[in-house]
Amino acid sequence: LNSDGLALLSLLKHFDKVPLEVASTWKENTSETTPCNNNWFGVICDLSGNVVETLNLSASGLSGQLGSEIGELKSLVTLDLSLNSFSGLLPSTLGNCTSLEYLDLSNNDFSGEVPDIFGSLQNLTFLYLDRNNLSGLIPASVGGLIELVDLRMSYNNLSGTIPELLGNCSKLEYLALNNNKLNGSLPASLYLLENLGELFVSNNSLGGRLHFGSSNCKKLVSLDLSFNDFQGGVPPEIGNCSSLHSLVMVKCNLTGTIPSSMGMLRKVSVIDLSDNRLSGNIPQELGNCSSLETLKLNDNQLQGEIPPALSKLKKLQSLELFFNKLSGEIPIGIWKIQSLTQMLVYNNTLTGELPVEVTQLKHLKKLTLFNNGFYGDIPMSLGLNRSLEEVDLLGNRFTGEIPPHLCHGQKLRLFILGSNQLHGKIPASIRQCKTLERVRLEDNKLSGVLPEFPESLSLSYVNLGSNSFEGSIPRSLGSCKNLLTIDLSQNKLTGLIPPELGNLQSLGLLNLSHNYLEGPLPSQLSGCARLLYFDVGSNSLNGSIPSSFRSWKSLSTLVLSDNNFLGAIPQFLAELDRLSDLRIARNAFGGKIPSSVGLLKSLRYGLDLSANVFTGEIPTTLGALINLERLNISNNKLTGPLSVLQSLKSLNQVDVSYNQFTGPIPVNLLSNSSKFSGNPDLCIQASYSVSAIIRKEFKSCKGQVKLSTWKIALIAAGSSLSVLALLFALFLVLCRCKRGTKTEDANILAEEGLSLLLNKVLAATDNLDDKYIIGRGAHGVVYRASLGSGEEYAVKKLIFAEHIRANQNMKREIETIGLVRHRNLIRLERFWMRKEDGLMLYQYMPNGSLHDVLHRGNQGEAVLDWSARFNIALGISHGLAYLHHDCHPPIIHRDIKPENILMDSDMEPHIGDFGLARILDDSTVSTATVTGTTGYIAPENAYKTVRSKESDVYSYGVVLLELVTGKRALDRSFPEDINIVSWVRSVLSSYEDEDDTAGPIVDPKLVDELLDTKLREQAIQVTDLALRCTDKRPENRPSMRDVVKDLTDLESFVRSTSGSVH
Amino acid sequence: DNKAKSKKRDKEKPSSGRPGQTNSVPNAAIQVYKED
Repeated sequence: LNSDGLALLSLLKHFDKVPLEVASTWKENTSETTPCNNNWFGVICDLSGNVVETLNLSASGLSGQLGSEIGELKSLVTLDLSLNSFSGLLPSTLGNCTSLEYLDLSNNDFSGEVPDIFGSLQNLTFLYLDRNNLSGLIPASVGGLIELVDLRMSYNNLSGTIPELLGNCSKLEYLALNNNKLNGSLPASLYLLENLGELFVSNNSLGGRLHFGSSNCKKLVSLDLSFNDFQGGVPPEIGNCSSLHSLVMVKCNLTGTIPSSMGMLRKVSVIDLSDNRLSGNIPQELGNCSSLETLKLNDNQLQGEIPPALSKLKKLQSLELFFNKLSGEIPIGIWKIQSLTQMLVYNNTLTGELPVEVTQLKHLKKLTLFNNGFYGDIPMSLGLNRSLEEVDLLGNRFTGEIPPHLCHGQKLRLFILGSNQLHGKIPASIRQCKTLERVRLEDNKLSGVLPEFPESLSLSYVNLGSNSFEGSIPRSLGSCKNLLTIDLSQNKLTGLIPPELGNLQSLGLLNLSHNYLEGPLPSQLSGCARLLYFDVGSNSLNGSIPSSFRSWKSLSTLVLSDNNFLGAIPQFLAELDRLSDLRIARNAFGGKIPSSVGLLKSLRYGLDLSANVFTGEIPTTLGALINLERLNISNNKLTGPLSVLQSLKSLNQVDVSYNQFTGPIPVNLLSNSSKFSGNPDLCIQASYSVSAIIRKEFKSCKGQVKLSTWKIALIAAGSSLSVLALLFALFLVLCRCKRGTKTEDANILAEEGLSLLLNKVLAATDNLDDKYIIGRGAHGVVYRASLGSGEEYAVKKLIFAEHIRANQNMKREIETIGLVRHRNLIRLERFWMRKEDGLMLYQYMPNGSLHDVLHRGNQGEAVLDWSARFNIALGISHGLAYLHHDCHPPIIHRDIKPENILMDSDMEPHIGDFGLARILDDSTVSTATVTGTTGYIAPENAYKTVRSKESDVYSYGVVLLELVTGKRALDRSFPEDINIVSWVRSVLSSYEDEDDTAGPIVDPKLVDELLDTKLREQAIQVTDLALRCTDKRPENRPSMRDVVKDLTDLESFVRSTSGSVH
Repeated sequence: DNKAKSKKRDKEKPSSGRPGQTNSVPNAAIQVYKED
């Protein structure tokens, strides 16, 4: 057998799994001297019949390794081992196969680096190494492959930069390097490859600016740069790449505007620039892209109107402009584009009516307009064209009735018209619509009897709440077996709860509250075994709780309040060990509170047993509910002491009023939100509290020793400290900030025991004597320590809950907080962990808090002038933007207010307490901890504890309004239930001069200064910004980065016009 | 002249931004429960 034959047999020895075709034909045969005459599987020889030219074992089920003997097949022209399971390294002897023109090793499991062998493979035309596990650099010698036409290395772990020398491969037509770990810029030489037709570099870490658009890009048909981190925007010359068919640049950090030259792309069918930071208008020139089928510009910051020129896109199928800041009406011509299949423009500020033309679109499947300002009637013939699959118009101002034929094509899956102003009935045709998955009509003015629902396995979500529906709950809902949510709350429904609902084994939420339902709870509801949330509050239901409900093992919320239920709390309730919220107030439940209630260890958000007829003492087991935050047992006939409530460390709202309790009120209940009235035999222990005595309501347990009011406040604050410290320890996670990761200058050490500095601090404050207290924040008491040498510090004392003492994690986390450094953030200098408490040492801020400066100005003190206020606004925005955008994960402050802004001697603001907020990742997370301060809490957080960057922006907007108006967030001068946001809006809405939005609300102390027109304009713009920050909809609020930019622009606006003065 | 006969290989599938969504605001209670 000749050398090629022997080489093949050697290769065979490295294979693990050999398919029969190979095993049966690759054999040494004494009569044959070459592998060419015996039909060796996958082997083709040259015309002379001596040497192997092609080895093609693609998709042959092979595994094992590629032996170095491959290099002995020196005449090999084609090697195709793709779609097997080869592993191990690529042999460098491949470089000996100098005749290779086609090398395909793709779709295997090769690992290690790509050997630098290409210098000798001068004939290589097709090189496919994609979809392996290769790592390391792309060898620069690839640039020597002057015949190379097609190069694919995608889906590996290649790193480093794309070699500049690749630009020497002048015949290259196809280049795929996507899904690797490549970094650096696209090499300049790449832009010169005039034969390049398709370029895929998505999903890498590429950066730098893009330079497509030279005369060399005429053959470029497909360009995918997505999921990288480029700088700058879409290259303005991109229009020169006139062959482009597909331009995809998703989430690659593009900024700036969309270049109008894109209108020159007459062949482009797909433009996807979604999820970038593009701003400005959509250029009307895009209307010239006459081949365009998909235009995807969603998730940017585009503004202005949708240009009417887009009506010229006669092939447009998908228009996706959602999550931008677009305004105005959708041009009528767009509604006439007959090829449209989906119109996704939700989350903008678009307005106008839905024209009748929309009903004539024969291919329209998705009409998704939610969260805009569309108004008027929905055309009644919508749906008659039978193509509709998804209709989502939620959160607009549509009026009129629901079109009756939306499901005419029997394809409708999403029927979402919630939060509009629709009236009339739900069309009866819904009964025939078996394709429905989600029906949301909540928060309208709909009325009439609810229609029956079709028996369907697709329907999962029904929300018809907050309407005026009458009649009974349709029994047919019980045949929609895959329903997860039913919300019929806040209607006028009557009759019994149909027992058929018990057939819904997957149901997670059933909310029938605020109706006129009667009769008992059907025991069959126990069939809803996956129920998480059950609310039938505010009806006229009666009877007792069926014991069959013990099957609701997953239940987290049970609301039976405001009905006529009676009987005892059933013992089985203790088995619902995931119950976190139990509300059965205002019924006729009676007897003793069973001790088993104490077994509900998950109770957290509330236990409301108020206004029933419970008797006896609070069971001692209730003391085990250590996570409980709200307790209301008022208006019962309970007796005995409250001492059991002492151990409920998480309580922040307690109402025990109107019972017959006796004895001392536990210290931990003494807070502003606690209510004790109507219990004449309760008393206050003289040693710690007089707040109630001041209210002249309770006697002292022993004598009449009075303490000063500040001590009470201290006690009240102290009682919540351990709770907060516990939450603090639970919720802090490690945080690193872009500019804060330098550790060399960070001297934050969590030190146990004493240190020299700590000794000095303790000495300077007489061991933290009360007379050195300068403030009491949500997280602790603050002392001033003057060390004599001119060094002044503020010391915050945190009192720990018992079980988190000396917690190593906490120490590490606080050390990390110490790394967060910014000129507008208060700087944590030291932290000491002691047995009972932790001491945080901060810079001392001689001017107190912004609240002191703004609202407590003593007579004779200088008025805080507008320029200073503007600088404060700007400083806070810088600090908050740093927390939101430069920390990873971002830090949400959760309690921005003037009291938490500290002022240094130069009146530069420093945000305090930021480290004590929960550190979040980029998404919004629901939790329960420090809940902010009334007046500063965003409306979406009024009844829940979700916090996000947007809610910080809201609070910041409130602070801005305080700076402009000089009023407090909840100023005494406002009418009841009016806060600064609603006050400003209402004053401005009734003010006639639209150009002067600051005039009627501005702080009277600033009037003289604001006679300067430039400063006045600045104040107006700041007011406008504050109103945007406090927009009701979180998504409409600017980011803190936007705020910084706006304020910086405003700063330069004034500077530029008063430059001669400065 | 290339002796190799190139196979017709599939082209890379271009990336795509996230598809349009619908309103799927989860119920707060369920969300809280799941996080617990």
